Amino acid sequence: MAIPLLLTRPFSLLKAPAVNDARGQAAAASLARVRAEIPELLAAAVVDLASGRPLASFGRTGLQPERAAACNAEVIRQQQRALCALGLPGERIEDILVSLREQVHLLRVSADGSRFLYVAVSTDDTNLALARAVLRQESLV
Amino acid sequence: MAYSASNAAGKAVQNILADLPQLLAVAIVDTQSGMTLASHSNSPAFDPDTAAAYNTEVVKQKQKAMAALKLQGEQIDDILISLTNQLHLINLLEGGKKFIYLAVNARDTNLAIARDVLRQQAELLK
Repeated sequence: MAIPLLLTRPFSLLKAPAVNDARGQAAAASLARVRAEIPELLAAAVVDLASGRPLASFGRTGLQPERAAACNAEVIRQQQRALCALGLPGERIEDILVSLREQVHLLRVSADGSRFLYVAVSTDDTNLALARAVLRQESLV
Repeated sequence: MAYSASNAAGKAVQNILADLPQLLAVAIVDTQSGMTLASHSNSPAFDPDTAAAYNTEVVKQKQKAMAALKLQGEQIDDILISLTNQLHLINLLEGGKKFIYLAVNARDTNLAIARDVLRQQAELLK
């Protein structure tokens, strides 16, 4: 009898909240909800935008969500500089989506602009519209 | 009009304009220098050359992120930035050496259409 999926998936690593205060716990709760909605995700993190430090993170073996968090914080800040330079009034970044060959990386800035949620999924498992909808929902919480 | 229809980049801008006449701005950009090979803007307030220069840095930053993650066999295909009322799309060509940058109003053009138009032109520019 073939055992479906279970054995083909690498073990996942759930990191304890990096920051053990109210923000860290809220971040961990947020990640838990996203994982419940998209169980097949590859990596996820709630990141403090100003410092690039993850408040909570999760990643399958081989992925480094902490490192991705810092790099992606810089991507968002760079995009904010671009918006400033273009002088677009009343516009703020809702989300940034990066399509790779076999993965999609989604960044969504929280309503107050202090944090962002980062999720990496495989395009085989999850479609883009679904991942966006889950993140949009989560950013409103 | 900052393009000449006699070269490939100019033709791509012309084709994108034909498909999405209501677009805000479009540019074909050289990633290394951040300069535009061809560009067009429908809004006097929106300078596609400035947008190109800044978005080049966004692309480079994301490439650094990819390098740091050591994702093997992966390559950035496109980057979509949703703003409150606008969509900005970056479609990378030739493994990231050039990119097409497109800004549209989210009310006029949906994401799927904008992506599809850019993909078609990316094929022609290869």
